[in-house]
Amino acid sequence: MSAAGEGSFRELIVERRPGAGKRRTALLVCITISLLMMLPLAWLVRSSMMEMGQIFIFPPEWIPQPFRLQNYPEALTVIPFFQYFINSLLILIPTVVGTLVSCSLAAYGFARLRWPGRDAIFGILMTTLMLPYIITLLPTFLLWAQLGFIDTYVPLIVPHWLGFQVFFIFLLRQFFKNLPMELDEAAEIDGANPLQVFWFVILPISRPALLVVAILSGLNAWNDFLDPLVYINSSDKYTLALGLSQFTGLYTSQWNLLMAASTVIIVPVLIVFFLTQRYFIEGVTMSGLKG
Amino acid sequence: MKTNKANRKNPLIVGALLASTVLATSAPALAQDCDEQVNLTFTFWGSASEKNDMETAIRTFNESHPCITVSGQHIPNTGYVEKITSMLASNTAPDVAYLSENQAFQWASDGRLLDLSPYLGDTPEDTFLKNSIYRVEDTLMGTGLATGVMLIYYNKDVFDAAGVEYPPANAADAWTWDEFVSNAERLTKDRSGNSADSEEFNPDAIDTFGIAMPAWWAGWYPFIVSNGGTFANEDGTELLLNSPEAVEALQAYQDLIYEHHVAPTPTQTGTLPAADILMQSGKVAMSMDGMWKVTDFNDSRMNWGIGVLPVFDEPYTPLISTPKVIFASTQHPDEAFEFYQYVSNPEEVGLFKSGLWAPLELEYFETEEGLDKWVTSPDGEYPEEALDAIVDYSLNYTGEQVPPYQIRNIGQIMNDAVNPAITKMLDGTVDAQAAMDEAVENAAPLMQGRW
Amino acid sequence: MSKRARRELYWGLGFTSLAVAGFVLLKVIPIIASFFISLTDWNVARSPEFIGLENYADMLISDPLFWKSMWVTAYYAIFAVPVSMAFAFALAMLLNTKIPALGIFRTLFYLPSIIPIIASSILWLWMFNPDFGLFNAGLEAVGLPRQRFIYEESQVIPSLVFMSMWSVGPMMIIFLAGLQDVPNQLYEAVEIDGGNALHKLWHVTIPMMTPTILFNLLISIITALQTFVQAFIMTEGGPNNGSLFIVYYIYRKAFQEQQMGYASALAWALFVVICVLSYLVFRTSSRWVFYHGGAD
Repeated sequence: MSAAGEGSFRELIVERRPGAGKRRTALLVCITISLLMMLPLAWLVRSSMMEMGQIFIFPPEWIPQPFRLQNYPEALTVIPFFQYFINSLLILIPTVVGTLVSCSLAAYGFARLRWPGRDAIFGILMTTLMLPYIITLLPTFLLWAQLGFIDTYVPLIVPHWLGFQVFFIFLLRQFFKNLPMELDEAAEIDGANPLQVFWFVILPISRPALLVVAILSGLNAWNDFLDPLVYINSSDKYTLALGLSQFTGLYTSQWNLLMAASTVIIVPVLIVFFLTQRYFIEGVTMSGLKG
Repeated sequence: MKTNKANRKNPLIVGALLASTVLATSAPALAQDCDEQVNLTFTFWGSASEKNDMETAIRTFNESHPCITVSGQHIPNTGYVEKITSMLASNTAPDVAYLSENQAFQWASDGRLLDLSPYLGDTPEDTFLKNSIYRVEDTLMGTGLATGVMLIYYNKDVFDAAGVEYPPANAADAWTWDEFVSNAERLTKDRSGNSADSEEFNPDAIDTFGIAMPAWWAGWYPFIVSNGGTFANEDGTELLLNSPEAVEALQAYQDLIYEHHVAPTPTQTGTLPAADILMQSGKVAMSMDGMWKVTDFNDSRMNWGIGVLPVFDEPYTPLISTPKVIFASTQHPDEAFEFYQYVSNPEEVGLFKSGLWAPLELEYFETEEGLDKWVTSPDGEYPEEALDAIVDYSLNYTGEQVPPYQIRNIGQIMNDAVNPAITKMLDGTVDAQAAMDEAVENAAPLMQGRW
Repeated sequence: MSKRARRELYWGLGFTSLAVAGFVLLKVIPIIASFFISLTDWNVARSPEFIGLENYADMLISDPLFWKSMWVTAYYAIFAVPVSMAFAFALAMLLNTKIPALGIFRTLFYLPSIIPIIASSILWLWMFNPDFGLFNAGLEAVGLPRQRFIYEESQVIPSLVFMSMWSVGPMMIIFLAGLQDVPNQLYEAVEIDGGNALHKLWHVTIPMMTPTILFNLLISIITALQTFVQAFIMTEGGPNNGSLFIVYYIYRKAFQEQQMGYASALAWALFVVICVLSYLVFRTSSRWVFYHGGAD
């Protein structure tokens, strides 16, 4: 995605080139849709700063009166935000690393090596993409329980070192498949084995795709709810998502506090997103999904 | 945290054990003169204030019992059943736990809960409110955690403004259903200030509702009993919710919404804030809710009171509780029982004084010293009418133990048959008779008798 | 097998070994275990009792909620998949025009999808609030009657479909990537032939986008059939079981009613449905997906 292709507002207003009218319409539509899509967030923030009384006025008012920022500290005393934040990171980081390692290895094996059974095994792996999570939940839980890892982060992390999210294998395989085969062949002629090809040739040029996988799997880990709920018992080990669900149980219908707590959980995601979105979107663009 | 049992069973988690021991011994309790340091796990649910008070209670317990370390696990209500199910499935059940009736009866019958008769004796009925005791077959699985009756809360200012007398606090003087409806009508106001008994009243623009009723069983079941009806037949094989008595009471309940326009629809109720906040903002005049709301109302800045439920034939309110159990897998039943008693002791746990919990034992209802431990305690937070509306009401008008606690497969019966029918009825799509006929029909294949 | 072939086999297995091990340990064994559990009556508290296929018979013959939950799930998927794909496609088309501030719009359109589902469920629950919510305020402002959204059986699924449109960001980005890869010459060719925008869409854009469409189709089917959090946080399967998604129903059976055997049978039913469906999608995809370039 290049910035060069984007027009400027001034250009668009002054411009008389063919197609400008269409682009003006597109711009208007984009602005409208953006506003509509941001409306829920405005609603969230507005509710998060209101007093209980004002929240229950119909038709609703948009400007909190007074601004009750106190909702935030109140919400945060119930959720030990910093600790849960660290807990979420403690799960997120090894999860992302494990996903990158196991999925890129597998994707390489499926995309660029020719071996008997490859496509059959890949096909079978992909069917688990459609495997309802719920079907494996209880037996998997029992397995971890027998191994004594309940109330640790192990069951949340280890699966990701075993290519648990096959979607990422699929995604990376698509990307690898679209790299020119000559790269490998040239390296093989130089005497490199597949592991060396993978490490020195393929990985360096796959950074955008790896970044996509890293961010997506990080998001998944951050947002995951059911796994921490099942595996984590002690409240000092809760993640933010689990902490928020606890909050809903504690404050039914105190919408202002619920909205404040939700905002607090959304904000770190937003920050990361704004910091990385360029790379991320470029990564998706460059990954082989376009076929 | 693991129980010791799990640790012994599984050498793989020695590391975790080590870690938990380090944590445990770093607690203020000193491990002097203990034969053995006992670690117990206790799981509970509850609101933020309940959680805080419970954690304080646990801390106090640990400090006063140097040889026992209880680690409390607060689990959100929404995930509680599944969490305990998982723990049980993996043999890591807690030692002491709150449990919902659906699980408690089944698991007691399956032998997973400790029989407490060695501790509580064969006739705990002599010292406890009889409806707070849970038995299955030969197992005395124990008592509830605490108790609470269903009440009417009201905003005195709204009553004064409408010139309506406060709901009676003594069950002997309870309003009849008709009195209740006509008072609720006088309290219900549309946006122009007309009350529901006036001809100009506009039911589409209601500003203040006379009464907010809960949609769960405790909201409608009491009136069925008051009208002489019941939930199911003696052996629990047939639902009796379509009996004339039950239907009459349920129809009256539905009429509050669509006939008299004094109560919000369930949609409105379900999405409205908690009763204390609603009432404070003048959106409802009365709210039927559990005694445990006293603590929330106390936190509000409103002029409120409590009264007893209206009556068809006989005054009745359900005594609601939650089984508190010790799992049979515990390695330390004695210590577990010590904590078990401690948790429900008004002298130790602040939740009784603060109006979340009413006690289990008769002495706290029948003796002045006992009452001083909670209702009439100088730092208690109860309104004066609590002696009638809570104490007398709990002792004398709570009938038999509520059947939803004793019917087998009650979770599924409620989920699949009763609740959908009640929802339809409260939505106004069908009348009480049709809804209950459907509930009874759908429940028929699910009925498995009584525990 | 030649030496080279064997060597390639070893490398192939080596690279994929972590994933294959994960597949066996975390998928195959649990699935088999789940099947055995589905043949039992097991409430967790006592030992499982073998009852053969009774759970399956109960499910198919005498459980109206099973069929209802299947219907609810299918109903949702049939609407949510095309609606969210079409919306994502339209957004991508919009962003593929050369408008100013493209990056900002792309970010704004994408943003809702990164919000933790638990937070967005709470937020939407509040917006759907019939009395104080955003949507009824909007309806009332333009003179339309208030609705009850997720609190009414006939509206709950459409409401959740509507909600699903909010988080089409990833799909949109993937479509956008695909769109930007469509060679301009093809459009020019249509123009030379006198084709209009619709012709371009139908004869160039969509055929060139088929691999991307396949990808998004699969992902959104998977997501739709496994809808859970909305039911869990927002509706509890109601009203009148109108949003009793199959996964939520399984969850309820397993964890709230402790019918592990029956829940496993339900999960297996879902599994079979999904297998058939994915087979159909893959099977037909060779007919409508057009790959250009690539290693194969």
